[in-house]
Amino acid sequence: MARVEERIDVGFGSSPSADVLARPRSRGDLARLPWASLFIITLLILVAVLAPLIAPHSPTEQSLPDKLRPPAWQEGGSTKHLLGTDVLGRDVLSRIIYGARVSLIVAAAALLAGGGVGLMVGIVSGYLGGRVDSFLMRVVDATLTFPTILIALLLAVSMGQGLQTIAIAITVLIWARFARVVRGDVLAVKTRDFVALARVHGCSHLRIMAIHIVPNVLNTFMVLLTLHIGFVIIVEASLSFLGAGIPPPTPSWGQMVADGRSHIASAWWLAVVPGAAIMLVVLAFNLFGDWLRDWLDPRLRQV
Amino acid sequence: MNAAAPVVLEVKDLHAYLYTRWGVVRAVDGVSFALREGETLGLVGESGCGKTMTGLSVLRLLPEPAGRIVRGQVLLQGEDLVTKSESEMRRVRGRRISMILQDPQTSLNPVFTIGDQLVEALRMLYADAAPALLHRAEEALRSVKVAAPEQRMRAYPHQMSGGMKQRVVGAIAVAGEPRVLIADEPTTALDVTIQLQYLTLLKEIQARTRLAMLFITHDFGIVARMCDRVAVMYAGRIVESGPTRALFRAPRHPYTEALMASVPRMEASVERLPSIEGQPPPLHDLPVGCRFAPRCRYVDDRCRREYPPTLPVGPAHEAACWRVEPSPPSR
Amino acid sequence: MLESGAIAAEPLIRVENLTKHFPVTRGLLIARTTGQVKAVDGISFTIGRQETLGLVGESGCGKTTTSRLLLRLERPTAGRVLLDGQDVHALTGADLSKYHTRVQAVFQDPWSSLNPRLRVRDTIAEALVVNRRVSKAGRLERVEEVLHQVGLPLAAASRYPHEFSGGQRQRIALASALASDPELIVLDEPVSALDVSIRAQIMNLLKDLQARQQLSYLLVAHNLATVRYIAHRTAVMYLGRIVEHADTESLYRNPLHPYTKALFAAALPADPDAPRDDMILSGEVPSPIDPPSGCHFHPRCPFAMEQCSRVEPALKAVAAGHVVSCHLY
Repeated sequence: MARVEERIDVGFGSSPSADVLARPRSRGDLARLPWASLFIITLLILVAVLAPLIAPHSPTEQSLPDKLRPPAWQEGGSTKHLLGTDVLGRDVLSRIIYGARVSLIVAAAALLAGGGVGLMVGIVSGYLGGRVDSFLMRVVDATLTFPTILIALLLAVSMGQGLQTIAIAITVLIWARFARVVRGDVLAVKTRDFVALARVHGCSHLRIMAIHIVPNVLNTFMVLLTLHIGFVIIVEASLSFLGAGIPPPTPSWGQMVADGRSHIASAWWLAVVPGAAIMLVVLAFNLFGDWLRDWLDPRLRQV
Repeated sequence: MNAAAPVVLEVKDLHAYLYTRWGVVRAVDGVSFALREGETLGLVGESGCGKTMTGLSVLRLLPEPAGRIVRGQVLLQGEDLVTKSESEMRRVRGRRISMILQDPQTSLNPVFTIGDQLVEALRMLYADAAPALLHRAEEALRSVKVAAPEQRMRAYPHQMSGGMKQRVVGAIAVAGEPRVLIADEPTTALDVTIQLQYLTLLKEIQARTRLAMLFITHDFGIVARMCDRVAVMYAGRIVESGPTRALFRAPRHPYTEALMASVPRMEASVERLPSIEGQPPPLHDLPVGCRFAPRCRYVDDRCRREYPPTLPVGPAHEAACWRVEPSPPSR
Repeated sequence: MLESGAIAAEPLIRVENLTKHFPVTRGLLIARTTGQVKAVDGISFTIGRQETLGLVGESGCGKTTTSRLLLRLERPTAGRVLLDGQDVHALTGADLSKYHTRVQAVFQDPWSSLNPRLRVRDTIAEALVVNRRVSKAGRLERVEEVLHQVGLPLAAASRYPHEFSGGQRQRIALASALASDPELIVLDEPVSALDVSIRAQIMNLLKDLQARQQLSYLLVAHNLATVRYIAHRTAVMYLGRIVEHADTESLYRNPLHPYTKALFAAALPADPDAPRDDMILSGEVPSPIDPPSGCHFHPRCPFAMEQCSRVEPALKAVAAGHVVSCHLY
C-alpha cells in the first residue's frame, strides 16, 4: 500500500531529456531577512573587533575628578564622555565597547565547547541507540536537573574567577540541552532511507555519522546555537553580577550592572546602559534564531 | 446511471490559485463538472494535476492565505458555496458535503478514543443528550460494519488497523447524512484486500442513501469498479470526461490514451509497456496552447499555439483536443 | 535465464529456512520479552542469474523484512542467505566488502532515499568509495557511465537531490545501486511512490538494464500488475510464510492458494466490464505476534477444513515449478 503524496510540484525537475537545470529563483527573499537583528549583531561584532580603534578612552583608566558624570545629553554631561562615567571616573562608553568583547568571547567559547560536546553526544546517543543511548540520556537528565547558576557559582568558587572558568561553567550547563535536541533530530534522520542505503553501500557507522547524520542535523544545531547565545550572555552577566565572573578591572556588562546597582537612584546610567546593551543583544540573537529556524524549515517543502 | 436523477453538485469554471513565492500556481484552472444524486464521478490524474485542490476548493478548504478561489461557482443544490461566509460554510461541511482523506493516521486525533471523536462529530449535527449521542455513535459504527461497536468505542486510533480507521473516518463523514461525499484517495494507504472491503462498503452506503460521490484517485482499477462517470485532469484542467465504459473503451484525449496504455495489466502479459516521456508542466509556468503538447505523439503546430476547446465526442462524452472530430451533441 | 527446475550451477542467491523473530518487550527499567513478532517464519527460495523473483503480499507478510535480511540490515534468527554458496551473514573483511559491491538496493521513497546534503555524484559513488580502491578520476567516469545508463544528463552529477522530481530521484537511486556493478539489486516497491505515467518509464528501464547486464532482481511489491510485468518467478507471502511460488505466468494464469486467489480478485482490473468474482475476505490480517495455528490463513479462508487449524500445510509441487502450501492440494 503506497502513499501517493499529493505534492504541488512546482516543477523543479523535468524529463531526462529536457533541461535539468531550470530552477525558478525565489522572489522577495531579500525583503524577508531580519534586518534589525542582523544590524545589531553586525554592530556587536564590529564593536568588539574594533574596540581599540573606536573606544574614545581606555576602559580601565580612572579619573576621579570626572567621576559620576551623567551622559552627554543631560545637564552636567559633556561630549568627552558620551555615556557618562562611573564611580571611578572610567568612561562608560568605552567600557561598554570593551565589554562587548568579553560577552562575545565568552559566548563564542562556551557555545562552541558546549555545543560541540552536545552535538557529539547527541549524535552518538541517537545513532547507536540501545544501552549507550539509555546511559547517555540519563547523564543528560541528571545534568539538566542541576540549578544553573548554582553550578556556575560552585565552579567559579572552586576554580577561581576568570574567562576560562566561566567558559567551562557554561559549557557544563548547555551541553545537555544540545545533546537532547540533537538526539531527537538524529532519531528522525536515522529512519530515512538514505541511511539504510549507506549501510547497504558498506559504510561504517563512523562514516554514516560523519557524512550522513551530522550534515542533516546541522540546521537544528545552528538554530540551537543562535537561540542559546542570549542565554549564555545572560549567564555570564549574571555570574559577573554575582561577583563570580570576570574579575575587575576588565569590563563586563554584568559587572557593570552590578556596580551600578547601588547608584540606581542617582547615577541611573551606570546600570541602565549596560543593561540595555544586554537586552538588545539577547533580543537580536533570539529574533535571528527564530528567523533562522523558520527560514530553514519551509525551504525544504515546496509550497 | 439514471440520467434523470437531479444534479446535486455543479462546479462551473472553477479557478483556484495558490500565491507562492515562486509565482502564481494555477492549481485549478477552469474546471467544470456536474454530479447527480446517487452517481459517482471519478476525478483521475497524477500528482500535481489539481484533483485534490479541486476537492478542497469545493469545500472551501484551500490552504490559507496562499490559496484563493479566483473565479467560478460551486453550486450545491443550487446554492453557490463560493459566496458563502465561513460560518455558513461550517454548517455545510460535514452536513451537506463531507470529505474523507487518504491517510487514516492523520484523520483521527490520536489522543481521543474513537467513541469520543464520533460523539464529537455527532454533537455538531444532532441536539441530543449524551446517552442518545452514544447510541447514535454505535449505530454509525455498525453501519460501517465495525464488529462489536460497543467495545470499539473505547479504543484509541493506534489500536486499530488502517482499514478499521478508514471505516471510522467514513462513519464520521456520513453521520450527518450529506448529499455529497468527496473521497480523496481513501484506499491508497490500505492493503488491496482491505481496499476491496472498503470500496464495497462505500457502494452499499451510496445505494442506501443516494449519496453523490466525487472519487479522487489515480488508480484506473478503482475507477472501473466504482465510478459511473470519469473526468481526467491534467495541469489544472479537465481534458476528457465521459461515462466510464465509453472512456475505457475508446479514450479520445491523447493523455487519457497514453496514461491508460502505460498502466500494466494484471490480466495479461506484455513485452513492452509504452510510457509517456517527459513530465507535466510546472503549474506556475504554464505554456500557451495545449498543456500536453510537449508530450503528445499527435502534436502539431496548432496544438502549441492555441488551447483546444472542449468538444463533444459521444453521448455525454467530451475531450479538449484539436484532433477529435466533434460528434453532433446528443445528451 | 535459468528455467526453474533445471539442474544448473548454484543459483546466485539461495535462501534456506530464513526466519526472523523480533522480541516484543515491555517494562521501563527492566525490559521483559513478552512475545515474538514472527515477521519471517521459515522461508526458502532461490534467485538465478539475470532473473527476477517477485515477492508479493500485503502489509505484515514479511516481504520487506526478507529484503532487509538479504541486505544484511537485519540478522536472521535462524536460517541462511547464501550468495554463490557463501553465507552472507558470516562474511567479514574483504569478503564483506566484495558482498557490498555485488548486492545493492533501491527503496520505495524517492524523497528519502537520497542524502539531501550530498551532491548526486557523491551519492552515486559511495559504494565505490567505501569498497574499492578506485581513483577519483575512475569514480567520476563510472558516475557518468551509470548516469547515462539510467537516462539522466551528465550535468545532474553536480546537482543536489532537491532539484529533481520523484521519477528522476529514483533514477539517481538506481544509478547509485548500479555504480559498483552489482549482480543482485533488491527493489523494495521501486515504483509505488511514483506517478502512474512515470512508473512505466522506470519499469522499462529496469527491464532494459537486466537484459543488457547480468542483473538479478528481488522485486518486493504489492502491485500485482507491476510484478507480472517484470518478474520471471513470483512468490506470495502471508504472515511470514510463502504460501505459493511459481513461474509468473503459471501463477497468474492459475493461482491455486485461496489467499492468492483473493489477492488477485482484489486487484481491480482497469476494465469496467471485467467479471467480478469478488472473493471478499472477512476480517483483518491477524497480528504476526500471535498468528493463527496451523495454516495461518485458515480464519479467513473460504475453503477452510478441519485440519487447517491444526496442521501447517507443507509446500507441495502441484505442477512444474509451481508449489503451494495448502491442504486442498
